[in-house]
Amino acid sequence: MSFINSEIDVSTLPAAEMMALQPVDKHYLSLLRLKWLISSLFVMLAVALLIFFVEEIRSLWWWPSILFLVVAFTSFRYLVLQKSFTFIAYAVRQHDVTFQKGWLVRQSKTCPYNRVQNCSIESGLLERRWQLASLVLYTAGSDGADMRIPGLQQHEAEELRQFILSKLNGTTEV
Amino acid sequence: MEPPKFSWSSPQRQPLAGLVIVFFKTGWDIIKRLWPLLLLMLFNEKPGKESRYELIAALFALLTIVNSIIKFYFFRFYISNQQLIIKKGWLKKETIVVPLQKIQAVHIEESALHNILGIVKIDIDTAGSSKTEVTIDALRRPMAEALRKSLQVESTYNQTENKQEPLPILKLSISDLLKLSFSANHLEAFFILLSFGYGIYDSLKSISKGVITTATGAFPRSSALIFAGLFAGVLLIVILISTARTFLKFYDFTVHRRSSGFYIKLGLINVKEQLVSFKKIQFVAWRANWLRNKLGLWLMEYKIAGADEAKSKMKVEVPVTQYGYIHLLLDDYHALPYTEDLTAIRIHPSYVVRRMAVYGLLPALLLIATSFYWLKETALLFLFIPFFVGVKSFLLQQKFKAYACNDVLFVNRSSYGAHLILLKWHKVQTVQLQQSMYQRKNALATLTLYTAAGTVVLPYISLKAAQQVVNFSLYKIESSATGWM
Repeated sequence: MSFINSEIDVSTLPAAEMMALQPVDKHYLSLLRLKWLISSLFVMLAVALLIFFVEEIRSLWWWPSILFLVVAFTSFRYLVLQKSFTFIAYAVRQHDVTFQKGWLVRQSKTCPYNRVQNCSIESGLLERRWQLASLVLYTAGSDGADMRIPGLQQHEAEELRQFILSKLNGTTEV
Repeated sequence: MEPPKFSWSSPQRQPLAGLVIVFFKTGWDIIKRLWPLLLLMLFNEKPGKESRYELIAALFALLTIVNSIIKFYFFRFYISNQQLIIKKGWLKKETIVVPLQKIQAVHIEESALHNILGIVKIDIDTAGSSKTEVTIDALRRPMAEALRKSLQVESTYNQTENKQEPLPILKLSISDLLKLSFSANHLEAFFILLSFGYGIYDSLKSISKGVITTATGAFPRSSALIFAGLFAGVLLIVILISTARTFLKFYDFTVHRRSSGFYIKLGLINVKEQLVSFKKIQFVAWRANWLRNKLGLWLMEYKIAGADEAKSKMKVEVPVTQYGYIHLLLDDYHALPYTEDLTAIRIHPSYVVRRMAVYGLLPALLLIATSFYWLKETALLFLFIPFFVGVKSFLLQQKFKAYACNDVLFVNRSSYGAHLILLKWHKVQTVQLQQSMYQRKNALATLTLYTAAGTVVLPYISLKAAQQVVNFSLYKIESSATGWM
């Protein structure tokens, strides 16, 4: 059944759901783990300081449950990280690029090249350790319309950027 | 009439009359920032301490005023090379360069104060982030008009203006305004009254506690009558507030159609002029509350690139008092599609329960859990949240219909009243398909279409429909020769 009320036969259109998605670099998982470790240490430290210095908290009989909650939350974050890494993937097509992510809630976003305003590569301190980079596509769309593809190898990101920029110059005449 | 003499090409300051505006603006700013201190000064009559507060306040006020005067002198603007250049700042210098073609719209605003001084304020709206927003607080009207003239949007407008003003395509009469006032969302007015009333009550209480207690002590006698009287009184005041707000905003509302866009003028004291270029309309939405929908009154909003929800000042709203006007106002964007024999995309019934659980029950339980200690049983009133969310989701699920036509997406997302959206495919920037675990199990998806003026969401539609819309919209965007602007 077709939901599109158009003179075009929808079944002949290229199907976004059928394209082969490409996973990101496996080192990205190490990066995610490192980020998880750092942020978890910070949270643990903050909680420890709070419990150590604020007497009111220790006088509550249920204060150990705070510790339990923090540990449970941190472990859950690790599980989410591990699970969702397997779903981070992207696909580059002739006219658009698609990025998928998420384990519990899966999102797949597609951005056509002729709507891209700008395209940049970002590489943080931690990312550089594994020669990783993120490719960011900026559109004129409102919040959330931009696309960030993380965990690409630096040369890969650069090639992709060149490719998209060449498409930009080819299709739009601004 | 001889043409006014001025040039845009050399850097210049705002007219001196603008200093008055600056004074008012900073005065208001100071009051906003210092009101706790000012209140303390008013009510805290203890000698000694008072003088210190006063000194701090006076020093702060003086510094702020001096700073804004210096800023006023450093504010310069000019046009060169088809670019509007604004230089401002004193300690931190800033130069804003806006290419003239990138300007979306020039809004001319004239408050009562501006009117007395014979100047206007202009807001220049550009696509993209609010960082590139430009406001010139004070400008002589001919100059503001000249800026419009230099914009491409206005190239045709001026020729017609010099001859004779064409008749407006839409004009609100006093009876239209009254209809709008009575059908307005009185809840908003009620909250204004509530916050205002509470403020007065609070200050009265602190001045003399005795008066209030005697007044409330006298209250319980024949309480039903008093309650009815109070209710009627509040209703009357609320309607008066709504009427005042409607008249202030929409008085003398006229829409002119020019070859490249709409020219809208509105306002009683603050006269606002808006220019809406057809090219820059991303999508159109018109809505009405329950009463207005019954009366046949709608508020049509042109969603303009760059003017997102946050920038409510830039909102372009047109009250529609007759159904026929909808076509009049839509046709320059796209005609209303004929949907009689089309397949509609509907929301899956599970949406109601899921929505109620996540956005109704969950926050309500959290609120009850956190506030039960203080509010006791009253906290259970929060259970109205899931009730309202449930009713709203149910109505939306029942009424929702999206039609994916050849050139446009037509969405009816009414719940209590009416809310309709018309979006041309090639105005879409990015498409996103989202599935929760539950949605994956049931082959459902939530589709989000991002445009330069906000998003259009189709929640809990069948996965097949969502995929078809994704593929079709991508095809439409990628094959369209015309850009989104």
